[in-house]
Amino acid sequence: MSAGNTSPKGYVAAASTALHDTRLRSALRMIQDRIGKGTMATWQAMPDQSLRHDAKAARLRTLDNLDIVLERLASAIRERGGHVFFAADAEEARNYCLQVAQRNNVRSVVKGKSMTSSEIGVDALLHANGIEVTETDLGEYILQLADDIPSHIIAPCIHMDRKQIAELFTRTLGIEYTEDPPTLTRAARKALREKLLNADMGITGCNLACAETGHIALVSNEGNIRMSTTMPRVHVSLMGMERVTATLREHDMLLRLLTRGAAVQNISTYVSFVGGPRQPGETDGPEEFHLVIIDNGRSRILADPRYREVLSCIRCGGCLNICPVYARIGGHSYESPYPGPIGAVVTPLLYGVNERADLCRGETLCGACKDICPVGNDLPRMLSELRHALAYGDAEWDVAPVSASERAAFRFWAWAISRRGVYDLLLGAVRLAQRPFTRNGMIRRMPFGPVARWTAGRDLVPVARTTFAQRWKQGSVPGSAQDNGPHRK
Amino acid sequence: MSTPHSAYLFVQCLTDSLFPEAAESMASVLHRLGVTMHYPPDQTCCGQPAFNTGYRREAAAAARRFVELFEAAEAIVCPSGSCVHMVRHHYPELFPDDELMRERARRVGRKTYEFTEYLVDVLGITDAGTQLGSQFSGTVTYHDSCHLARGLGIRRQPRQLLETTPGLVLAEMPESDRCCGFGGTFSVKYADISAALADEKADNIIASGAGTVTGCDASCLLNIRGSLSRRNSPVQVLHIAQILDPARTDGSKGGNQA
Amino acid sequence: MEQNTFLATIRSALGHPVRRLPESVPGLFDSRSETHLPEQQALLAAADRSATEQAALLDVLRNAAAPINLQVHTASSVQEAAAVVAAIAVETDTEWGGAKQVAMHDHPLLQALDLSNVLAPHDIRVHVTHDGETPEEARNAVIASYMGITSAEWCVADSATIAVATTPQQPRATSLVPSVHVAVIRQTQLLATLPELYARIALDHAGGAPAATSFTFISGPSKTADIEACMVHGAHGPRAMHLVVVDA
Repeated sequence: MSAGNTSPKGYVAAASTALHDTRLRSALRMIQDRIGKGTMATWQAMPDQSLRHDAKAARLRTLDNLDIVLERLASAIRERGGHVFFAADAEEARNYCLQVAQRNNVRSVVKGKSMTSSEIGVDALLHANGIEVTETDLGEYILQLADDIPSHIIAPCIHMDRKQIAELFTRTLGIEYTEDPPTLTRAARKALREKLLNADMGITGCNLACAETGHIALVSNEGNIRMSTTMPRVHVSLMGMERVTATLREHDMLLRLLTRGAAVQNISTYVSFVGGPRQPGETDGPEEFHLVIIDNGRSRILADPRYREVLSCIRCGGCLNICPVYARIGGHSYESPYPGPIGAVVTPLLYGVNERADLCRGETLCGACKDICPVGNDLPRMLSELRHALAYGDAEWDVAPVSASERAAFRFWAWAISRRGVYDLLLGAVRLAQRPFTRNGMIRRMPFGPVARWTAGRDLVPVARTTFAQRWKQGSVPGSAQDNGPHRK
Repeated sequence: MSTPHSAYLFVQCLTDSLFPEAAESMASVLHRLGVTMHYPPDQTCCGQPAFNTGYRREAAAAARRFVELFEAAEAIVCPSGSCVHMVRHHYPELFPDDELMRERARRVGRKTYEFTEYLVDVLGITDAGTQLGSQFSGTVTYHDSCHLARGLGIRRQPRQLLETTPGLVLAEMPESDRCCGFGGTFSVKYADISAALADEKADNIIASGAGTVTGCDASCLLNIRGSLSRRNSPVQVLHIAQILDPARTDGSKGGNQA
Repeated sequence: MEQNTFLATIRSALGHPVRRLPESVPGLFDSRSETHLPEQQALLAAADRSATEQAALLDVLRNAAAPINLQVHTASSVQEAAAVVAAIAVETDTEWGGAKQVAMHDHPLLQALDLSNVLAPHDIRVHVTHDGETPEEARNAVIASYMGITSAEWCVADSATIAVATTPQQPRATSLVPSVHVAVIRQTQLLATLPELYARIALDHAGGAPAATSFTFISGPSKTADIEACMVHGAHGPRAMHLVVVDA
């Protein structure tokens, strides 16, 4: 899942490294302050408070009828001369892209920002077959030059600062060193214009297709996606099978939510509706248009009522703009094309729950992601479901219990908390154990046990000399003397 | 209060063992209001740590026990928002195949209240000074805990009580509802992330200029206190019940601040 | 994979053993189904505006255009509009060098501007999309142009968005490849909101008019904020965009 100079090292280790990255911290702070807070304010100020609710209902209805919706979309596109390919998995999808490229003697490909393309790993395959692939979204282009991977859904190179980009451009584009964003952008504009005007094939994702009219819709601010779908001879759009609405009306609702959730914009600069190849009499647009509709694990999510909801995600990235954990560990810690809270749910479901157990368990379940989500996806609920699967195993998802010792510990815990006497004995043991480490009413450092991890970064409040239960029993608490036992009904 | 009220006290495990003074203050406030209280002595934990880690069978055992201990109550009052959220929202989910138990859990959930919610929404307290006798000297900042604010929608009630406490100046911290990073077993399993978030919370608390931080969840206050203490901050950490309690002892009896 | 196998997997995930026809879910594909028709009729009725109301929309448009760097101009006649366009053309330098050339859609309102004659004294050549043009010619013309001039089907005031359909007379690249995009519309084409625009498209679609194979909503010039979230205009599309609203 990783590319370039970032090799996978696991969530915990990657997060630990990121916690010390002050540059990353201030960049993510800025994006959360500007966009996350702006989106929340937008939701609160929206005159139509039912919009998000209605949009979610529309998403779920489309998912409930996805077979019919996709059939309609495919036939409308075919009627206009477009090709539609249904890919069961990543391999089928990328092989299809390669075949299309080879059949059309494609030597160079320009790409619009697409998470699905990294999900299916198409770049490496094209590259291995001698086809030049160029990312054209500015952020993605910077990352490609730097041999790095995205860390945010809509701000892919947010983890890099202008100094790094300046050095990179000086080295790779041969421009004079400058840290001025407009000058750097112009340099990329010039370099990419050549690529965009001369590429043989464009590969894009699909933000949200509309089955009623038979279009895919692509949203961008830069114009690179329009370029990639206008100038090359061939356009291939990669679409996760859930990224479709049944009607224009639903498309309207979701587009408005998408751009507000992504960047607090009323609308993006460009929203392009593409329903097929160049039509008779037209002088531009692709001669061939291919829509690749990709399952790659999604039907399994669709089949499970616990997780189906997550397919209503419109990939605005809003949850990344509010999550306190993401803000500190950054996108690379998730080691997935889908970072942040949405990635924490989707990545395990797509790539294996056991393999990505830390993604399921490494959040506080604070609920901010649910609050900001334009379609109100309950990500904390789904994380809780994933943790449940990990606790005992889940045959449906081929999940094995994550830890026998942890399970034993919770069994013991359940036994102990069901017996107040035992519970009090345990508290007494903790009192003894904590004594040598307590100074001025706080535990500063515990050298062993799980508490050691806590005290590595914080002090800990010790167990009090007497519990509330004891104080109540002793009658020292106001009102305790009047406690006449359980009330009778 | 026109009609006499009675309530069972649900003193969640962390308050019981780490911050007993907070629960004492809660009892003190309710006692002054004439609420008849019962404390089921066998209570321990609501099961939240197990639930949030995925161990629902163990959580269900805790839930069943809780329901049995508390279902006779007229009302159940708890000084912890996340535990109330657990009881109200997650208990019914723990009995997917037992309709009877699920209904019992729902009934218990409907009458389980967080302390400030009980004061404001059930007892109709609008002024802490005149109705509770509360008084405080100093500037206080309030932390919105996640399950209380987002899960239960309780933001107004604690503020109303703080704002009407004579002598208390409420100074909002930046991002008062941003997670403190506790997250149950997360705080130990992913301790460095948890501590980093607690540190940010401490930064915001200090930025408010308040001499005291308060909240309605012992777990958050535990995390916040740990971070403030590590950096030797003079900011004191008090549970909201301790602020509202006219007979507050400031933990001088050898217990803990919050 | 075969489409049928793929869809069968979805059906089995959804618990539907056999293929279902669209009719089995009433209104699934109809934006103008009974449930939503009143809502859409209200939107369309609202779009039937008096001149005063349209003038008010112009203010909404200006307010929405400012933050996205879309320059709005007004003109009370086509001659005045032509003068506005000419002024922009004269003031603007070429980005990639070469002689000044403008690419323009073949559209009645644009033709009425008579730009070939208006711009001739300034040594600015106008390339108008025309019948019989080869893709190669069209491509070379648009790449050689520093300015692209289009009209639009509609313009949404509250998001400062124009909707442009692709037709043989209106190729995609005119609003995209040149460094500056100038759109000229009539004030009567103003709509209030995006939902109104969608309702228009849905109305046309329901009326049997096939939705254009390609159409684009454009709101201001190209931009990016990928370097430290600094807003820069002119990432890949036009660096500047002008909208000329003709009140005549």
